[in-house]
Amino acid sequence: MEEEVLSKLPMTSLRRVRFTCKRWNNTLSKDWSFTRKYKGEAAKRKEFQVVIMLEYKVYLMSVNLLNPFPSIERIGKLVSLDDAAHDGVDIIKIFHCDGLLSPKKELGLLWIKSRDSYHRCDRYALGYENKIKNSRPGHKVLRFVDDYNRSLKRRVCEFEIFSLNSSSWKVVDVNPDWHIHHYYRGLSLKGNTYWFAKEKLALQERIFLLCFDFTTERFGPRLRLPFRGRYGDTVTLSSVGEEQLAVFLSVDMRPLIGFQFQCLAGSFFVDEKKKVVVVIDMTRGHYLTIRNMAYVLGENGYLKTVDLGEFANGNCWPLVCSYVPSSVRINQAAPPGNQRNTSPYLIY
Amino acid sequence: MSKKMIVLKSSEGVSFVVEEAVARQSKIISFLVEEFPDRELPLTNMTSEILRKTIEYCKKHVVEDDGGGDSSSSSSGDLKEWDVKFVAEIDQPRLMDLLMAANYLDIPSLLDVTCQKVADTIAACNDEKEIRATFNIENDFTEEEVEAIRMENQYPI
Repeated sequence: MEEEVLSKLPMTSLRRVRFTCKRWNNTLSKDWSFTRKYKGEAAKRKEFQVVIMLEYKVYLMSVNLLNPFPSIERIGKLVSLDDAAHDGVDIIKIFHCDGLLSPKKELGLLWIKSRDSYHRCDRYALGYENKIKNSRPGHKVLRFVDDYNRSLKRRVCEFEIFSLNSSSWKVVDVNPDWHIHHYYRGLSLKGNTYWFAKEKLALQERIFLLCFDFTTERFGPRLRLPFRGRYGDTVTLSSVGEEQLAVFLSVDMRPLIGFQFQCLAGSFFVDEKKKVVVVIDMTRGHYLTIRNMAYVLGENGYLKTVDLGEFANGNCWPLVCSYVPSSVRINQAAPPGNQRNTSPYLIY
Repeated sequence: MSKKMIVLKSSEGVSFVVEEAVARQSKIISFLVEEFPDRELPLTNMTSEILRKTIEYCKKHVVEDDGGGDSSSSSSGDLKEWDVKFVAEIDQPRLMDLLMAANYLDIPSLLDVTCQKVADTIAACNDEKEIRATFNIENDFTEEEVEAIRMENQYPI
């Protein structure tokens, strides 16, 4: 009975429910059944939520794309272990990972101790092993760098995986013949991560999709794109539901919005039913007047904007991830020692 | 043609005569009617008050067959509005009883509206203390346990 009632709650109430009594906390912690039920109820309510990073902080937002006044409203802020202590933490990248086989969902903070060093150009990806049905999925984090390091005056090429099950790093042997530009963000889908990449030595700068398979811990074969994209194009990835990959290629947007979306920003999400794409970027103009902005683009030149607030920090480009609710916690082994004192990574 | 009636008996022994189509919205009653036709059905764990409320709901939601195919007695918009009013008028303890009745008798739509009403009541509470007070729930956590849950659940919500 509890499951029946609690699955009808808005997400913002779930935290209070967890702290009410043991029985309710147990209901929310059930691996499969509650999450599945909750997703079903949320779909019935037609709740549409996304995770947006603004000004180095992360918010859960409720989206309403109804014409003529679309709205995007904050319904929750990322709460971490002890908020007061971490309020000074700036979040610079967000990742989101979900899967049909796995009831797990990351929307929390993982503090992971770095193995020994980390670089400014470090790239991260989040994923999990697609093992046998219903077994506990093993979440993993891939950290890699393949760049010239100016301070070390040499090329740095490191690939390593952190397993949340064992709470430890391990080095993987990869010698890439491709290159992923730092502004192409990875997208996690069904446990694996996809990026735009190009051949390292090719004269032609054609881009393709590259996938890192977290089960085999290997990069997969190159995947052709349905269009001829060139390295440096404003292209981004997003997911539609839990199954589909969406590619957004920003062609010349100037007639519509007066400028081109930025490679660094330009993250987006799709509402398949309403046939609209929502791109998160900023306005242009004098730096004191710039606003974080959502551009709702539809068929036949449809365009609406939603103001997301001041672009105050000057260099935190807003980002968005689609989000499907879950209350299940990540299966993470107890970290050895006090990890947070030693150059922690904030991975989201 | 007269409609077929059945008799439901509450825990206090009060008999309620109900049209069969109305009562059949409960999957349990539907089953019992087929198994034991022309018998009074005792519902020993339901008070007259709750049974009366349940019947009131079922009467409103019955789909009447008027020869030209199935047609609900009210439009779905009206019904929704009626449902909201129906649960709004019930106080907290009785609402829980009604929810249990809907579960026991297996009436999915009534279970849905009562669960939603309880969920709305929980959502209206500002913190876990208020939730406990509203639903008369004992705080069975030790301070260490609360801290442990806090450590395990670093969610934004």
